[in-house]
Amino acid sequence: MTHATTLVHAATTPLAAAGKAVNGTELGVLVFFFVAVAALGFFAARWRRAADHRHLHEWGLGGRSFGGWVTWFLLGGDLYTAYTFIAVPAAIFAGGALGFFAVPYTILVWPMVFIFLPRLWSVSRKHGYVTPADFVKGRHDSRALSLAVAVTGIVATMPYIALQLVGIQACLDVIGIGGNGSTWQKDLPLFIAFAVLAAYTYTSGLRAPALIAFVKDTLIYLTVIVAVIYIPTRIPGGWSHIFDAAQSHLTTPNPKTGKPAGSILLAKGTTIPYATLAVGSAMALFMYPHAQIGVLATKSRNTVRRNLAALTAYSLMLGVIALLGYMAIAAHFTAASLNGNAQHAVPALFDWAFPSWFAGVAFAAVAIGALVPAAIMSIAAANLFTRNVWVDFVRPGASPQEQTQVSQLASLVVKFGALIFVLSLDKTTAINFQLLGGVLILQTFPAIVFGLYTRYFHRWALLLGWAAGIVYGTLVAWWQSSPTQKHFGSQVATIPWTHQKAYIAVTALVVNLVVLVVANFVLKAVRAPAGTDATAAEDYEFEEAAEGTTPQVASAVL
Amino acid sequence: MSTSDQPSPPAGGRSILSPLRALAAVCLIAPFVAMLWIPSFNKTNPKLLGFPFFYWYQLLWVIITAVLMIVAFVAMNRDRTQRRGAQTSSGTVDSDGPEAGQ
Repeated sequence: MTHATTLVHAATTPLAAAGKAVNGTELGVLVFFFVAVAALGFFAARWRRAADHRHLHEWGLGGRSFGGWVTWFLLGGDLYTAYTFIAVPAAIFAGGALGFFAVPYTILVWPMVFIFLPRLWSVSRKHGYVTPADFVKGRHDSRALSLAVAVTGIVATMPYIALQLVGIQACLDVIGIGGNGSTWQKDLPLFIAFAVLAAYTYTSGLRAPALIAFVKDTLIYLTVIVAVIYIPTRIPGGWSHIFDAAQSHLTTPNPKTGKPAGSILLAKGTTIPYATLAVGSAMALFMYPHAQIGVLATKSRNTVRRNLAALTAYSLMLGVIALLGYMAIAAHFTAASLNGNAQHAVPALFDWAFPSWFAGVAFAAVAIGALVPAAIMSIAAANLFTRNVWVDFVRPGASPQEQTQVSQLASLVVKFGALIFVLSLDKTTAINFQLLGGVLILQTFPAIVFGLYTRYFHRWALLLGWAAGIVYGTLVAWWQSSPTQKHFGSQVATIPWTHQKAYIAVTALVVNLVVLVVANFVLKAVRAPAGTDATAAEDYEFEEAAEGTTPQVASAVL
Repeated sequence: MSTSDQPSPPAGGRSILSPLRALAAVCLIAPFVAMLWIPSFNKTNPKLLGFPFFYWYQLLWVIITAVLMIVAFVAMNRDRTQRRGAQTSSGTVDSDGPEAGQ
C-alpha cells in the first residue's frame, strides 16, 4: 500500500550484516510469544467445535458463528497486517505526507462498507455462499465471471501473504538473526515459523487465527500506546521537534536527484494522488477475500453493522503507527543508516527506544501480526480455489468433506508458495506484485458490489469491463519506472491525456466502468441471454431467526 | 433497471426514504466530504500539542467518523424496528424473521 517504500528499499543489506550481535532478551521474548501462540492455534480446533466439523463452512468460516467481540478482533487482526505496521511508517519515513493517505483510507473504508457488506452477508447466509465468487455465480449465472473474481482474488492474495514474511524478516534482521551465515541459516527461522503456522491452520481452520487475533491485537495496542507516550519523551523537544525534524529532513534535496524526498504537507500535484489512493484503497479492501471471510464468518447481520462502526478504533492506531516514521527521522535514522531499507525504520526505532524486553514484546506484536493475516489469507485463497475452481470446473459433485480436504491442502500449497516466492525472488518483486494486486482486486468491484444492488449490468459486460481494467492496470503499473526500478516503480501514474497523476487502480476502474457501460448497451441491444438470477430481492435483507442458532439454511444448501 | 434490485415493496405506505435513513446517509457521506476536501486541511496551522493541522485534523476525523457510524447504526436499527411495526400493524407477513441482536 505504499509507493514511496518501493523507492528506497532496493538495496536490502540487513542491519545484521553490520556486525550487530543477536539480542538474546529480544529473541527470548519473541520466541516465548511465538510458542504460546502456536499452542493456542492447535487448541483452537477444539474451540466452539461443531458436530459437522468436516464441513467447509466449519473449517473455512469458523462455523459462521462469530459474535461481536471475536469478529472485531478477527477483522482488526486480519486487515491491519504486519506489513502495514512496517510499510506505512516506512512510506512516511521516506516520503512524508503522501504516505499518510493510509489514515483517510481507513476512515473511509468503514462508512463505505457499512452500506453494502450487510447485503453481502445476508445473501451469502441465505444461499450458503462461502466465497464472494459463489455470490457472483449465483447472481449473474456466469461461471466465467465467477472464475474471474476467484482467480483475481487468489492472485492478489498470494503476494500479500508473502509480504507478511517481509514483516517478520524486518524484525529478525534488527534482532540480529539472519543476514550473516548461509541462505539456509538465514531463512531457517522463517521456515520454522511458517511450518508451525501451516500446521495449525491445517488442523484448526479459521478458528486458529480468530483465537490468536486476541493475543495479536492486545500486543499491538500495548505496543502502540507505549510507543506514542514513551518514544516522544526519548526525543528532546517532543512532538513539535519530531515534526520539525521530519520537515527539515524531508525537504533537504537529495544530492543524487537534486529533488527533496517530500514534505510533511502535500506538495502541489499530490492532492489527487492522495485522494485517489485513499478512496481506491478503501474500495479495494473488502474485495480482498481475506477481508470478506471475516464478514461471512459472523453470526448475524447486526454483528456485521455494529462491528463496522467499532472497527474505526483501529484507524486511530494506524495513524499513530504511521507517525512512528517521523519519530524514526527525529531519532536520526536515515535511509543510509538503515542500509537503504526504510522497512527497518520501525523495528530499528523500537530497538533503539525501548529496553530489550519491551522491544521483544513489540517485535512479537509485529511477528504475530504477520501470522494472523497469513493464516486467514491462505484460508480465503483456499476456499476460492475449492469452491470456484475445483468444484465448478474439476469435480462438480465433491462432497462437503472432500471440499474441506481440498481447502486444507490448498491452504498449505498457498502458504508454501508464498514462502518460496519470498525466498527465491527478492522482496522487491513481492512488493511489486502486492501493489499490482491492489490494482487487480479493485476490478472485481462492479461484479460484486453493483451485483448486490442490481442485475442491470449484463454478465458479459461485467466480464469485459473486468478484463479491460486488468489489462490497462497491469500495463500502466508495468510502465512506471523510478530511480531504483525499471518497472512497477510507482502506484500513481498520469491519467491519459492529462498531466495529472492518480492512483492506477482508480484510473483502471474508470476504464473498467466505461467498457462496462458500452458493452452493456450493445449486449442489451442484441438481446444477449442474461442468465437466471438464483437470488431474490428479500435475500439481501435476510437475517438469522435468532442469535446463537446454528446456520441451518446454510448447511442445507451447501 | 430491472425490478429485482428493488427492496420488497414497503408495506403500510412507507417509502424507501425515511428521515432516519436520511440521517444515516448524511452520517455516512460526511467523512467523504471532509477527507476528500484536501485543501481544507493541507496546512500547518493551527497546531495542536505540536501536531500540524494536517495530522491532528485527520486523526480527529477518525473519532468523528466513529461517532457518526454509531449514530448511523442506531438510526438504521430504529428505522428497521419502525418498518417492522408498520408491517405488523398493516397485517403483512414479515419475511425477515424476528429481529436479531437487539
